[in-house]
Amino acid sequence: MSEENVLIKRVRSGDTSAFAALVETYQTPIYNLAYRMLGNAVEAEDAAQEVFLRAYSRLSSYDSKRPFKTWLFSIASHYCIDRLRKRRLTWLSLDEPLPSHPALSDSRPGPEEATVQNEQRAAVQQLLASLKPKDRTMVVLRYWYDYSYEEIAETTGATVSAVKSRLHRARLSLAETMAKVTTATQPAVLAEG
Amino acid sequence: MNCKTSRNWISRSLDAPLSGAQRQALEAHVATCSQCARVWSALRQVDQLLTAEPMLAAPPGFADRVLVRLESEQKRARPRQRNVFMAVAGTALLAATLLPMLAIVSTVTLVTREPAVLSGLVQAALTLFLFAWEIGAGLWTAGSAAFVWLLSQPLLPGALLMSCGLSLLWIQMIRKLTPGLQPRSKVVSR
Repeated sequence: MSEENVLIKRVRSGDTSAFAALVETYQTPIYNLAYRMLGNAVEAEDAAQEVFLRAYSRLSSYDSKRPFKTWLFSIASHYCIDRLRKRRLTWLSLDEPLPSHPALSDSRPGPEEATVQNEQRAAVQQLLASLKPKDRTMVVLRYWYDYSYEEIAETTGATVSAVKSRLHRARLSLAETMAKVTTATQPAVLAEG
Repeated sequence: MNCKTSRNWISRSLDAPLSGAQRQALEAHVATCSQCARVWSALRQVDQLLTAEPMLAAPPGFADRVLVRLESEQKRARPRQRNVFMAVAGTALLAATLLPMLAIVSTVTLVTREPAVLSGLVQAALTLFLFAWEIGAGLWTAGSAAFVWLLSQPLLPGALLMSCGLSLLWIQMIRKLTPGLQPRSKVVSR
């Protein structure tokens, strides 16, 4: 039995210190996934906390033959997608809109104090925010976790062919957003492919 | 090669390298198609931007906050468990009281088989029903009269509705102004 499975067994018997160890192991990948999906630190923290609480309460349904990481990521990606959908339905949103990034919108100057890294992060988030929630999950899993098509399919519950076509469509959409900035005067033709 | 195939290959080339022949065909197409050239360039830019973006570390103390939240959720769940226990215990107690009562009632039913007792019971039930009917009729008459009177005085119900609305607004305002009455946020803050 792997060390992780030992921890899971201990958590199932009510050992919260073992749960703390699992949280420590996965906190960064789960937080990063939530941040990339939701686009702001406060929501990402809340969502990542919620993912771990859900994992804790559903641990009895976890099949130890499957990789724990895939199971946890599946909870996280579904939760973030649900949250994004609910956010769209909320008529009076408390979320602060993402600041428009200069590289992706008008020629407005960015905040002077912003570092290059922050600007790049904002640009990435703005690109991701242009995607549908499911497509966004696939892009995030592909780029930050180096997941294969099969792993993305297992995590999101989609078929491998659906993953391929969604990823392809998402990339073209991102490229279109990017191209709009660089050649704003040319007609948008990228999503035709 | 058409543009659709070209864009598929461009996208796939980001995940796995194309064969030599594919690469040559794609490059030949892109050299003559300015739109596909633009797609390729933009896709590479996107790919570089996303690949360069690092994994964001969870904020310090994240695991501790998850545990605090877990503990508080478990504490909230405990009274629920206690309520379930109380409900089960109450039901058991009720059953323990009702069972002997049912035994007594079943012996009483033997007595009710006497014709005089049975007609007496029917008489009592009938009287009780008539009494309830009279009370209901009285309430209906009083209610109808009050309704007719209210219709003849439109200002009064209007004033009543307004005062209810104002009271609700007042309660909402007090809830917002009083921190202790605001709904608790789920996030465990840093």
